[in-house]
Amino acid sequence: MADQAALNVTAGNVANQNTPGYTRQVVSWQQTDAVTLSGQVYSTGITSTAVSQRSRILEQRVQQQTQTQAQSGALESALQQVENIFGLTSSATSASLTALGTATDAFFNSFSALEANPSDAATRQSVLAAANNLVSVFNSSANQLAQVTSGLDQQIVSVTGQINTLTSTIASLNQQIAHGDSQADAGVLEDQRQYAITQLSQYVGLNQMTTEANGITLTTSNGALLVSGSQSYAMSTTLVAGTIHVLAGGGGQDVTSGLTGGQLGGILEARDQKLPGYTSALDSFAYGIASAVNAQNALGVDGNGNPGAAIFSLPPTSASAAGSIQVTTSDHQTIAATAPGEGAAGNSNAIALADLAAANLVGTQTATGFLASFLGQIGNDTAGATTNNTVQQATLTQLTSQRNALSGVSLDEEASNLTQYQRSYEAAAKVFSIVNTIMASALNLGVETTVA
Amino acid sequence: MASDHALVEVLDETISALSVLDMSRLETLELQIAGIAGVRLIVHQAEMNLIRAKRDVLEGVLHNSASNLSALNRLYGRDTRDSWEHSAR
Repeated sequence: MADQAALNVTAGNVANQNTPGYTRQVVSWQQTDAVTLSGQVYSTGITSTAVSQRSRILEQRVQQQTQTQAQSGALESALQQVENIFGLTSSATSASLTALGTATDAFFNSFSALEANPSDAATRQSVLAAANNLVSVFNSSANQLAQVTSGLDQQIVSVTGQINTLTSTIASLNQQIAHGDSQADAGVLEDQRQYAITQLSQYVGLNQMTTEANGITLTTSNGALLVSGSQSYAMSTTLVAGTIHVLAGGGGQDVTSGLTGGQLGGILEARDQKLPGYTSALDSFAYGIASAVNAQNALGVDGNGNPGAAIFSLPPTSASAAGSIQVTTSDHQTIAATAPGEGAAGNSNAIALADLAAANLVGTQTATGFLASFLGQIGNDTAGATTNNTVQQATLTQLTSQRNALSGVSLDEEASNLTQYQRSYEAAAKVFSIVNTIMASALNLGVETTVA
Repeated sequence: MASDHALVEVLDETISALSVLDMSRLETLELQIAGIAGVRLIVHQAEMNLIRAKRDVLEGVLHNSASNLSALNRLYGRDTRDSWEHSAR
């Protein structure tokens, strides 16, 4: 009978090896009480029970890593969308080759052409065409950045719904485990709860506390209650100044700014920490170019002999400039190519307009310099996020592997596994060390070199 | 003479093997990289960014692995396990 039970446990492990959340079982043997008859002691055999073992700490490390990886994955995904807006890829990051770089260069080049033919209608019209093209790229880029933000807002609402479903499930399982009021195997309920918590870790950073009656209390990373015993506390979203905020805990407090971990953490990091900087930089870029061109144009004389008017319409400050900037005219005579008193054939102001390409228009940087650093920042942020996500994914795989390998094994087996892990680490560290040496030699010797 | 592609492949495989703690594979890679370091190696500048990125990933995974190993060694022998019996099948 005991052997049959042990076979059942093994069969169960095999059958459930792909069941999410399943914890491998081991057989625990117990000798039954002996019977003494006529002074002789007779063994009545042994019994067996199936036992599951789970390390609380390893489980929590897997959950924490799941939260870290999910956050880095969500951030990487959002930043890749930003890269796509500006036409950046891992192999083509030159600012001058992007749509924004090309449009900016073409705009300033149109003033250079105007120097040679200040009164030529076609040349003057080309300046307006280049201005319209630049404005179109500004508007489009700003609009797409806003769409990314809007998409992240929608994800927040969606993820919040998923979180609520899972916290409700966990609270229900807490109740069943505490009261033993289910016909189900308690171990199966534990597995189900653990699986639900792991799924929840995909969505949000958690703090976990074990309570009496084998209950589990869950809070967000910044302490808002999600589950306490059999009670779950739903997250909700609300609109604050046009931005989706997250409310959580019994009192529905606004926890947006302190949420980390999980997809929600990554989405909020992208939306609240990264995208505003990119939007602001794009606005500054548009505002810097347009306000300088307007100011220079105002110093010249237009084709009708009047002081130059603004070519671009702009908001009073740089805020929202990229999205709202427009070309004010379709009349090429608005362009003031000549300086006052110079006559219709003069080109001094056209030269001054063309020279703006080399002037510090955005803070202390030229337009080209600012664009290069702005796009370089996006490229670096995305590359960093990609590297970090790859690291976190590999680490999660490693932790999951360790947890599974150490589940239900003896201390001797655990010691053997640890020795193997240590040796694995040392071998990988050696590879890293040698690669570092190779790279240092290659860098020292320059391009396309040899390392002996 | 080895190419920078060999370096990239070793890095990729090391990251992959380290993520599942495949000791025998990692020991093979350790020998392989020692062999690469011992011969003339052409490293194209264009490939350096890719190698650097993969080197950074390996460095990050190694850093996290060290932390994991340290935690596992601390936990070894301590009773951090929950055990529960299953009801009769």
